[in-house]
Amino acid sequence: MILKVTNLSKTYKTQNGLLPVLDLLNFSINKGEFVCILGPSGCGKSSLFHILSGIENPDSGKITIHHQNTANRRGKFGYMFQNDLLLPWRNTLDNITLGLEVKGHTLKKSREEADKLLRKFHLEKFASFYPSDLSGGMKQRIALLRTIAFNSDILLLDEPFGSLDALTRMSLQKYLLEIWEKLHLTILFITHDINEAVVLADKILVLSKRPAKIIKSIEINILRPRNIEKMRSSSSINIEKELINLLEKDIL
Amino acid sequence: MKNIIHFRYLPTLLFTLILIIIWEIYSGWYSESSLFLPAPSSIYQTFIINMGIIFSHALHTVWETIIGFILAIIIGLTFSFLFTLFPFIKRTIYPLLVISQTIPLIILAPLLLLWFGFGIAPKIIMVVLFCFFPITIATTDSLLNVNQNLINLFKSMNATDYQILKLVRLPFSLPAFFSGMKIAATYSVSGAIVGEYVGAKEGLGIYMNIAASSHAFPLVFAVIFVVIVLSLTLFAIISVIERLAIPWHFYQSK
Repeated sequence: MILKVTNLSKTYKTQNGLLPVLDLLNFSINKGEFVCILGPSGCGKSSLFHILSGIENPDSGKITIHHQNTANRRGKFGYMFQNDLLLPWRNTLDNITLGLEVKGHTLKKSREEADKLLRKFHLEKFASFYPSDLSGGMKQRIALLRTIAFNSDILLLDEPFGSLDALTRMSLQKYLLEIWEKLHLTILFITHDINEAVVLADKILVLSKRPAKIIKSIEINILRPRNIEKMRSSSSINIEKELINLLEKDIL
Repeated sequence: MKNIIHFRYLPTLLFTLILIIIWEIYSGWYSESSLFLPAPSSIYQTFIINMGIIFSHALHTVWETIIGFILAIIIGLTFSFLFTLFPFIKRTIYPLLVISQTIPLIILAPLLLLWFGFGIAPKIIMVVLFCFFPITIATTDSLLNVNQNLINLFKSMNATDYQILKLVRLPFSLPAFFSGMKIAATYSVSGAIVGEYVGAKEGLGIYMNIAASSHAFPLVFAVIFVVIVLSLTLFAIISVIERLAIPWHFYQSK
């Protein structure tokens, strides 16, 4: 077990009073697992990642990483946001080095590592491109590599493909799975897209609307690669139906 | 590239030319008015005749402007960094800076003369007072307005405040810093002129003052023309540095 979350709760104080967002969350993730967190928009999924990554702290509950209850969780995850957040004044290579520079590596060493990563995942020809010259899908690929360059232990991906068109999104899903398999990553992936969750996940945690609790944890046993035939099979359609029912019931 | 620039400013040049022609005709037709509104042709002649003395005065003004401008950049950036790193200082000082800008600076000019004498000091202070404000405000606002998600990304990487300042806030604020400097550049020469106008040994301001009080209006206009050229030159120099320093900003807004 690489990550374990016990009785995690969080309430925000806003101008309109208290806003509970997380209500006694319990889950655990195994090494190498691809877990999707599925829930309605605004249910508190992003707050969960803010807390896991250490940007914020929970009101109560426990988070253990590698069986250790660590107070400072910052730097322990590779965190990727919905927007690519590439720095416009740095080219692709130097955007990927960012996390390594934060860790204190020299620029030369960081660039060597970033270059290796770009070659490994076939983007070396974009090394000198600036973000303004890249398409939306390419920016997300670079942002993904930047995340991995920083930390490839556990990735927190917050709707990384949410703003992409359907075709680009499919190609990025494939790209992510390729990286996941090659590097044996552990991934927590937030989405509100049911199909995306079924295509990607080993396990789906379904969250309720705010305050978020886990209403169900579903193992997805569809064999990989999950091509269009397998996605149209009755078993995967049944899983999607079940997920729709769960989410609908909760929203109404 | 060259063609684009020529084309871009062509309407301005043509329009200015038309205005100058109208001006020339107007002051030619009404000969009494030519005393107070000299014709462009007579301004030009005056300029050519007095070029040497104008340039020697301009040299003083340029010197004061450059020193003042550099000091304004240093002071502006110092305020910006302090405001960014210490919110308490920002809350305390920022409103006072805004208030300081509501004081008509022209009233301060004679006071500065009393306090700091006839030398170069009060002129430099005047330039600083004109210039530090746009630099401070533009840079501070930009340093504090970096995308919160970007800051969060770096926090999740366990980056220190100093790393965030160095890797994110500073480069992010460079375009605003240059905008502030460009605004300041257009004020800077006028700042020195105001300082000199109330009393100086040399400089375009005092030269203009003497010319005006002896009703040598063509000369006043010739000096105004020099002030315009000097301000535009400073503006252009900063624009060129901007192009070289932050080329990515221009790709981005392309």
